[in-house]
Amino acid sequence: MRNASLFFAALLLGVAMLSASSASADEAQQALEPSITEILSILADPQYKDSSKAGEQKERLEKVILDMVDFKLFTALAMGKAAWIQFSPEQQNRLVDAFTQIMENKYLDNIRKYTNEKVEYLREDVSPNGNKARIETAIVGAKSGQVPVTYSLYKNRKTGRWLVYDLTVEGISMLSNWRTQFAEAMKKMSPNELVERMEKQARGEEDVFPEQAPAARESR
Amino acid sequence: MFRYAMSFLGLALALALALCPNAARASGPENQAALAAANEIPGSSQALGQEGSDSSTFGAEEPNVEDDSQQPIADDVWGEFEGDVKVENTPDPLQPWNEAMFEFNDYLYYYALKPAAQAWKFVVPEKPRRWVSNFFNNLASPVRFASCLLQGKFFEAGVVFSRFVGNTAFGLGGLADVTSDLKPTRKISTTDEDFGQTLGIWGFSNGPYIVWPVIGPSTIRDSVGYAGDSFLDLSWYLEVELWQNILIKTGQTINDTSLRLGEYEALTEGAVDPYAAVRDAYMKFRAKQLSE
Repeated sequence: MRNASLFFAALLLGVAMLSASSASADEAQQALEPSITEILSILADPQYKDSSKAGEQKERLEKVILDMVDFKLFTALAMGKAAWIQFSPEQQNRLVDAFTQIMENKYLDNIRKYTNEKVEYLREDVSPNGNKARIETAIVGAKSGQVPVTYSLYKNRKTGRWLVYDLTVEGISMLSNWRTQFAEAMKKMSPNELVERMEKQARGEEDVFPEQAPAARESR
Repeated sequence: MFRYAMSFLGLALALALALCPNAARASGPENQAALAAANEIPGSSQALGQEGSDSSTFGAEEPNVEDDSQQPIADDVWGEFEGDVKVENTPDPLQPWNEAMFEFNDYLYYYALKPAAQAWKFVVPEKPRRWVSNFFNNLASPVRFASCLLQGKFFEAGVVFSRFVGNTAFGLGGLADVTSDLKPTRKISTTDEDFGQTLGIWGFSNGPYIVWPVIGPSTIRDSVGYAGDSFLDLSWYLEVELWQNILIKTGQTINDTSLRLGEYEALTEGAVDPYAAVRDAYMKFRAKQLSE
């Protein structure tokens, strides 16, 4: 009899834990999904077919993305703790701004052509403590075929909001990719030089891409 | 036959014109570390658990990274997230050579391959370009067939074989990929296999990263795999002169590139270190392929 009640208690507890974790699983996706849906609808919006409105479209996309991604954490993690603390707080902020700008330049300009894409939510994993999640999706469309994209999100304890801090496309994590780059860059230049370089690139000065200069030129 | 085999090897190394963007998507497998990196994504909840190495310390006063952007990143945040970044420890003893070759390929891409692909794209609509791509893809079926067999993926090998027969017979010799919509009778893993991945499955590690002129990024193991694959690619066995075959291969590369313009740019544009960006991307992509 005692065993039976213990069994029931365990069962109840198990069910409670299950529903708790699925609740936060939903939470992460519920936070991500509206942003992605909005991005897709902005991209599909026929009024932006006119390229004179590209600027306006870019601004709207920018807003959604800034709201969905934690660029500071993104930059810091891409740098890694050992390198990050070599930057003064002021340099750190400049770095985050430049990094954000580079990302925006790079993606918002390329993303315009994807006007008819769908995102399928394949699966999600939530960490045991419920504050980190990975959401696996696939972008499906005429232009892209099927591209697997995984979003890494964490839950900000204070605000309770879920924010993206990494993006993995075709198995390539942006965070790790930038860590590799920053590691190489830090071998060659001082924090200040790196910040200035990033800022130049963000302003599009160093980066004379795409037609005029090869990629290799600017790293050397 | 022997002549073709020899021309093959030489050509495979020198003239496949499979530049970085292609190669980054194209061939080879991974060592344990890289495999672990790929596992980062599938993120079984177990893996996630291990990442937050000290999830217990993630407590009441988590510093708010997002709200007060002036706050420094606190220690427990580092603890929480550092494990998420899988740093690639690709051995790169050939770095000076590799960087020079990377630069060479980069010039080749921007000054030869890309303009050619853009011109081709301008002249020919997308559909015919897909047909050309399908045709060569179909001719490369033996590569996937053999690799599936060697990896013990017998059902997948059967799928590759029947697609080859189907596309060749009913798709105008492989121009149309008529079988791509047909679902196999049971769920299969990917048939996108090559000899480099096979070697990886067999337990060979990557060896150093190496960038070949023209061919692009690879590793020692993937290079061996690439040479092996060349022997099974039927497009090298067409009854034409060697120089004609080279021309055909160049054309194939231009055609394939025309369908992929922008991928290489997306990877290197805005990069602080394009060489490192491509190396990381290549290793990660191969790790993912190997895990599938």
